[in-house]
Amino acid sequence: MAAAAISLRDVCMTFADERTGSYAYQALKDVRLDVHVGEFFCLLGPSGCGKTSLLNLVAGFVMPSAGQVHVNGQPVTRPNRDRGVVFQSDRALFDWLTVEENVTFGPRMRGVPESAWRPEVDTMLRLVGLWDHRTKLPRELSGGMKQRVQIARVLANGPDILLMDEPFAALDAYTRGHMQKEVTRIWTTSRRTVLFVTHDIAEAIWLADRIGIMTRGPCSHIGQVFEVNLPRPRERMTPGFIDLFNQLSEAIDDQAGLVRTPEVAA
Amino acid sequence: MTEPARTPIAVGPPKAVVGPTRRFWKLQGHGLTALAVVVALIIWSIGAAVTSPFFFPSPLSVGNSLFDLTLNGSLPHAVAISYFRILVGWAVGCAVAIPLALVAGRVNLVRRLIEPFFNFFRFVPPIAFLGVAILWFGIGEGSKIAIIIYTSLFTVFMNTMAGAASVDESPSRAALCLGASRRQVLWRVVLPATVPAILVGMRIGMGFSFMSVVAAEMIAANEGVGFLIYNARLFLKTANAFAGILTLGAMGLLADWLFRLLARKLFPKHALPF
Repeated sequence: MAAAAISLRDVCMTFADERTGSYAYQALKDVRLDVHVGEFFCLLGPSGCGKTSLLNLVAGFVMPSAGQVHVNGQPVTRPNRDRGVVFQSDRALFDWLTVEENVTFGPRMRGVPESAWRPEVDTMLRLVGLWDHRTKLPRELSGGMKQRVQIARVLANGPDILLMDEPFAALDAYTRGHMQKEVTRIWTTSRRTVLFVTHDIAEAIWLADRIGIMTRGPCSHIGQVFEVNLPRPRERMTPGFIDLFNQLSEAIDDQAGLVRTPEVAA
Repeated sequence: MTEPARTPIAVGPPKAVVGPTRRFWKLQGHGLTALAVVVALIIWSIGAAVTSPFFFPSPLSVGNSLFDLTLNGSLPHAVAISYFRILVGWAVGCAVAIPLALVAGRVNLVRRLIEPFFNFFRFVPPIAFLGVAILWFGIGEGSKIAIIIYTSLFTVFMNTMAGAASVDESPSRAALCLGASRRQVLWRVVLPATVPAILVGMRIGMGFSFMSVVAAEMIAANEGVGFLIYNARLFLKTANAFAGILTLGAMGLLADWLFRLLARKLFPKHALPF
C-alpha cells in the first residue's frame, strides 16, 4: 500500500493551564489516523473536542506531547508550504493587502518571478470568482468572499495537502452551501489530499470520501471511521444521504454517552 | 406636429442615491460646527461684557492681540520655536520607542527586562524631570527637547508594545505555511499588522508633547508659546494669554490633521482607527 499522505500514531496533546500553571488538560490521547493521497477526509465532532488541535499538529503549528505526526512519510517539525491551511477565522487574511496581494503572498515571499506565478494566480482568482474583486481589500468583502480569498491563496501556492479548519462555520447557510459546492468542484479538478474539520454532519457527508468521528474531550481520539459511498456531485435528501446522516448522528451521540464525567469532585 | 423622440431610459445599476442626501448631512454637519462656534463666541462675548477685560477679555480684543502679535512677529516666532521643540522631541522619542517596543512586544525576555521601568516612570510626569533636565542638558533647547522625548517615549512605547504583543497569530501562521521565512513573517506580517497601533501611539504621544512643551516653556524658557502665555500674565495682558491659548489649539489641530493626512498617504491600505 502506498504511504499515507497524513499519518498520526499514538499522538497525545496536553495543554498546561495558563492561569494556574499546574493543571494540565489532555486534549488528545492516542490518536491514530491515516489519510490517503488524494483523499478528502473529514474530521467530525462536537465543538471543543480537539479537532483544531489535531489540524494544528498536522500543520506543524504545535508539536505533539507524545506520538508521531508524518506527512508524506516525513516527520512534521514546522509549518511548510506543502501543507496549506484555510483558517476558520478571516483574520488569517493580511488585511493591509489587496485580494491579489494576499493570493500572491506565498510565491512573492519565496522569490518566484511574477512570470512564473502570474498564470496560476489569475486562474485561481477566476476559479474562486474573485477576478473582479482582485484589487479590493479584505475588509471590503463579504464573509464568503474572504474565505474564497483564503482558499485561492492556499491553492496558488500549490500545496500537496489542504488543511481546512471549519472554513465555513461563520457563514450563513446559503453561502455555506455554495462554498461547499465550490470546494467539491475545486477538489475534483485538483485532486489534492484534504483534511477538513467540521462539526456539521451534512457538510461532512457532502464533501468527504471518509469521515472520522472524534470523541468528546478530554482525551479525544478518532472513534469510528465512515466511508461515504455516494456518487458526486452529491444530493442532499437522497436515501443514502439521510441514512448516513442518521448513522453519523447516532455515532456522535454514542460518543457523547461515553463521555467520562470530568473531575467534578477531584 | 413633432413628437419629441423618446429615448429609452438606460436601466443601469441603481445610481448612488445616497450622494446628495449624504452631501446634505455633511453640509449640515459643518453647519452645526459653525453654529456651535458662533454660539460659543456669543457666550464668550457676554461673559466678557459682564467682567473686566483684565479678567476675561472679549473675543474682539483677543482677535486684536492675535493680529498685533502676528504683525510684530512675536507669535510666529513663538509658534516656530514650540513646533520645532515638539517635532524634534517627538520624532526622537518615536524613533527610540518604536523599535524597543516592537522587540519587547515579541520577545518575552526583553519585555520582562524593560516593562517594569516603563511602568514605574509612567507615573512620573515629564515636568518632574525639568530641573534635572536643565542640569544635564542646559537651559537652552536641550532640556526642553529632552522633556518632549521623555513624554512621547512612554505613550508610543506602551501602545506599540501592546499592539505588537497582541498581533493575531493566524496571519503569521498563514504566512509560514505559504512558505515565508521567520524573518519575512516578522517584517511582512507582524510589522504591518502593528502599524495601526504604532500610529495611534504616535498620535497620542504628539498630544502629550504639546502639554509638556507648554509646561516646560512656562517654567524655564524665554521663547515659545508657553512662555508667551505665561509672560502675558506679568503685564496683565490677559488678551495675549488667550491669543496664545487659541494658537496652541490651532497648532495642535493642524499638527494632528497633517499627521493623519500623512499616515493615510503612507498606509493607504491599512484600516486606521482615525
